[in-house]
Amino acid sequence: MSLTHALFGRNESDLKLQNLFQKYYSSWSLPAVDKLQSREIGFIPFFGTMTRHRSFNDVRELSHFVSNVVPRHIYYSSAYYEYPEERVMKDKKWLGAELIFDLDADHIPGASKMTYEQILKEVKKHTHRLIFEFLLGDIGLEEKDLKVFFSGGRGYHVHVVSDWIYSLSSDARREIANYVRGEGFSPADLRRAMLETPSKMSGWKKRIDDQVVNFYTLLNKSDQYAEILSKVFGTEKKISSYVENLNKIITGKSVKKIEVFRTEGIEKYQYMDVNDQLVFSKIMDSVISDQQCEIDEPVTTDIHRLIRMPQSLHGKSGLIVKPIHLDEFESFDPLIDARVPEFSNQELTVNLPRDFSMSFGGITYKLSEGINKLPGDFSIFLVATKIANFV
Amino acid sequence: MIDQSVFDTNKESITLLLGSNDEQMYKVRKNAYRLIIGSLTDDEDHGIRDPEDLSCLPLALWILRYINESILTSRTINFVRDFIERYLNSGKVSDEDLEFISRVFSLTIDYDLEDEHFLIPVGQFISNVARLSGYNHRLIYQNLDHGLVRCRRPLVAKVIRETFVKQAFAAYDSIDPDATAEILAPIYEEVDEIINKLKSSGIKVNVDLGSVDFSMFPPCIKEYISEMREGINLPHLARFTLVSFLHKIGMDNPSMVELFKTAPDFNERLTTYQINHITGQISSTEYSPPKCSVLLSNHLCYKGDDPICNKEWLKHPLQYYTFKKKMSAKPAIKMKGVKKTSKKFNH
Repeated sequence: MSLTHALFGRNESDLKLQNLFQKYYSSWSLPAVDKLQSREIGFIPFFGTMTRHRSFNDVRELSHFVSNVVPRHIYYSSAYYEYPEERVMKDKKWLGAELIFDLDADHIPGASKMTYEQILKEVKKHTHRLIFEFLLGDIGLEEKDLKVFFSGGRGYHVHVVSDWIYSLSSDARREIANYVRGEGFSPADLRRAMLETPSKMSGWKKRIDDQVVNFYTLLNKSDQYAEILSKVFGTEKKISSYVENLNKIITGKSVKKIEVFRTEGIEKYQYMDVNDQLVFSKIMDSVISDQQCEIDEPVTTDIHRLIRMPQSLHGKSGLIVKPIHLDEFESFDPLIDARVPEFSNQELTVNLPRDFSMSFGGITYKLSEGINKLPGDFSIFLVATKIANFV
Repeated sequence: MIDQSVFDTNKESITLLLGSNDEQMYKVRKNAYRLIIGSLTDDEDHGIRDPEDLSCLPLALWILRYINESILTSRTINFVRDFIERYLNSGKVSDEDLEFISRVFSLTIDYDLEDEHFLIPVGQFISNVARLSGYNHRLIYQNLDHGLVRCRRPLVAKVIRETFVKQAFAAYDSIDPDATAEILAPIYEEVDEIINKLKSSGIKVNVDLGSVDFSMFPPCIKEYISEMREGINLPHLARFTLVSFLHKIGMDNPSMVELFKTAPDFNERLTTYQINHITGQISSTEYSPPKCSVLLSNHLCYKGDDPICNKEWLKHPLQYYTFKKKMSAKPAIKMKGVKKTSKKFNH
C-alpha cells in the first residue's frame, strides 16, 4: 500500500485517473445545455461523497468549476427549477422536466452472462426500437425532439425535449413508460379492447393482431408457433383436436373459423372460445417479449431525476457521455466513438491481475496477466472499470 | 354550447355580476347557489340543465373559495364534471361541436371523417386520463399512431371532463381567499345559508380512523386517506384497495362507511353495499387488496423513498403493515436490512 493510500485512503490508480480526467476537463467542450441555469447540478468526486443542489449561470462557469474540482461523475437534473440550488425539493419550484429513458444492461434478460460488448449490442437494439418504433413512430415525436447519448457505461440515455413533454406528471410519464415496455396487458381486457377498435387498428393492438394473423396463417409451418400450441395443449392429440375445430364452419357464417382468424381486423375476437383465448394469451406474451423496450421505469417516471451530463466522463469507464446524432445511431460503436481521442495518443502502463481479452478502439486485445503498455484510452478504461491498476 | 366564460373568475367580472340587477345576472347568482346546495344534498335539481347554466361556475368557485371546505369544492366540481360528460355523450353535441368544445378546454381534438373517429394528441390524452382506472384508459390499449389516439366519443368526453376538473381547480386556486369576503358581501346571506346547510348536512369534513393505527399503513393507503381528507375523488381501484386493506387489518364495516363520508361523491346506500360486497358479507368472496405491482401500473403506488416499500421482498400492502407491526412490537430489534435504497441518479 502506498503512503497516499495509507494516509488518505486514496489509491495511486485513482489519483492518476483523476489527473487524466483533469486533462480532459481542462479543454472540455461542453455542448450548449438547454436552460443550464435552471438545472440542478450534482457531482461525485474521486474522493468523498456526492454533492448536489449546485447551479451555474453558464457553461463557462460550470467548465471552470469542473476543471478545478475534477469530479469522477457529473450529473444534471432532467428538471428545470426556479431555484435549482435550494436543498429542499419543494423550495426549488419545479418548472418542468425532460422525459428521460435510461436503457441499461440491468434490465436486459441474461445480461449477467454476456460480455461487455454483447451487452452494449443488446442495449443498442432496445434503444433503436425505442427511438424509431415507439418515440418517432407511435408517440409521434420528431427527430428534433430527441437527444440521444451513450451513457458512458452500459447503455444509452434518450431525452425528450418537446414542449408538451415538460409539464407531464409522473403518472402521465408512467403511461409512456408502460407503453414502451408493453406493461399492463391482460388477455381478457385486450380482447375487449380489440373489439372496441376503430377501423384503423394501430399501436400494440396492431402488433398483436398482426401476430395473431401470422400465427393462424403459418400454424403448422413455424417452430415458434408449434411451441405455443405445445405449451397450451400439451399433447399432440389435443393440438390436432384444436386444429380440427379451427377448420369447422362458424355457425351462422359460411366460412371456416381459421379463415376469419387469418384475416386482419377485429372480427376474429368475437369468435374466440376458451382454447382460442389461451392461444391468444400466449401470442400476446410473445409479441410483448419480442417487441418491448427494456427501460428503467423509475427513471422515466421521475420528474426530479439527475442524469449524466453530456460530454462528461463516466467515472467507471473513462468513456464520454457521448451525444449521438440519429443519422449516426446505426453505425455508432461506443468502444470506438466514445473514447477520448487525446488519450489514445499516449501510452500508459497497467498491471492486470489476470489474463484479459476484449476489443477496444477497433483493436482486439489478448492481454496477459502482469504489466502491459497500452494506448491511454484503453488503459483508462481498464483502470476505471477496475480490471487493471496503473503502475 | 360551453364557452370560455366558465372559468372567468376575474374579480371585476364577479363584482359586476353581483352589482347588477339584471334578470339574467340574478339567474346566474341563483344558479350558483343552487349548484352548491344541490351538490351538498345530492338534489337532482342543481339548477344546471343546459350548458348555458354553467355561466354560474365562476361565482360558485368564489363562494367555495370563501367557504374553504375541500369536500364541498370537490363535490360541486365533480357534479359539473359529470354534467359535462353526460352532455357530451347525450347526442345533443355534433362531432364538429365536440371539436370546438375541446378547444374551449385548450385541447385540440379532431374528428376524422373518413374513419368516423376522434383523434386526441397523445400528450393531452395521458395528461388527463392518467388518474382514471380501468384498462380502457390505459395508453397501451389505445390505437396510437404518430402521436394521435384514435377513439370514440365516450373516451373524448372522459378526456374533456378530466381536463375540466383540472382547470376548475386551477381557477379555484387562482382566487385570492383574502378578497372573497369583500367581493361576496352583497350575497352574504346566501353564503351563510350554504355554510349552515353544510354543517347540518351530515357530510364529514374530517376522516376518522377510530382505533386503527395510521402510522403502520403503507404510503399508498396513507395517500388514499389523505386524498379523501382533501375531498378528492378516489379511483375505483384505490377505493377497493382501501376497503379490502382496512377490512383485513380489522376495521369493521360501519366504521369504513363513516370513513368514506368525506368522499366527494359519497352515497351511503351504494358505499355500504360495495363495502359489504368487498368484505364478503354479501358475497361469496372476501377480497384481498391488489399486489403492489397492480397498484403501480394503475398509478396508485406512492412508495417514493419509503425504505420498506423499496425492499425487494415487499410485494403487497398488507405485507408492509404486518412487517411494521412486528417491528414495532419488538422495538429493541433493529430493522434488519431496511435502509434508504432509492436510486437518485443514473450510472
